[in-house]
Amino acid sequence: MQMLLTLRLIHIFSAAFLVGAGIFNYFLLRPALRLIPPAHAVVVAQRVGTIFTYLGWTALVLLFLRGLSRLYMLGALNILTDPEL
Amino acid sequence: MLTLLLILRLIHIIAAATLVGSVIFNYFLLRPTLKLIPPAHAVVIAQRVGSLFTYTGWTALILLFLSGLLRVYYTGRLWLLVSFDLYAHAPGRALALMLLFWLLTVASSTYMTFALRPKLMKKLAVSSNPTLADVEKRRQDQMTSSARLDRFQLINLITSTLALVAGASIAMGGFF
Repeated sequence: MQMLLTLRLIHIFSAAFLVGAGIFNYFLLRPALRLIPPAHAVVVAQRVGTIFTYLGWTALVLLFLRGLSRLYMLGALNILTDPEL
Repeated sequence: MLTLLLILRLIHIIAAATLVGSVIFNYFLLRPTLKLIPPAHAVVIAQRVGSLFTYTGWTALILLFLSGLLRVYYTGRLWLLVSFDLYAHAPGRALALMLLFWLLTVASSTYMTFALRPKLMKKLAVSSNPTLADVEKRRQDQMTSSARLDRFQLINLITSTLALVAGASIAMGGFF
């Protein structure tokens, strides 16, 4: 049960980071970058983009692994190959 | 009724994800990056993003409160919030913990929005014919306010993340 709870927390935290960071990046940071000269906007966008690439992929991999391990622990891994799914 | 509860749950989850993801992005990604560009331009970005985030952050906090309250109301458990029975079981204790951390987030956001930010904005305004001493004092004041704002952003990050963790544990029976 504790293991499932930990996996659930990792899943929710990864999803929250992906969703929230995506919203922040698109709706808040992107319009703000238009207010400064392109040369400096590029520096910010490049740096943020690089870190976000690593963190975003980490979150995506964690989401996948957590989902798989949860199905495995519940003994329901075979449903992924079941056509009735 | 089930559809309404589902919609409220979705609003609750999206609001929580927006809040937590945004504070993490702001604190760990944007804040260090702004040190790479000249302060004059960093201030423009920080001001604009800060203003927009004030709206989205408060919208998320209010939506979290309303959707959470309505969910408890529609499931007929509103009385639990004002009863000691809430603390008798682990999920109830996790709910109380989530409410506590939400309240702390609201308190720190209130201080940032209504006390710190206006103070910082006032210090960002340039007076006419400033002397060198005025400019230096203004810069020092800005640094102090900015450092305090950073500390409160970190507090917001910790409290909102803990609220998310406590809330996510409710469906699994809480922690303790």
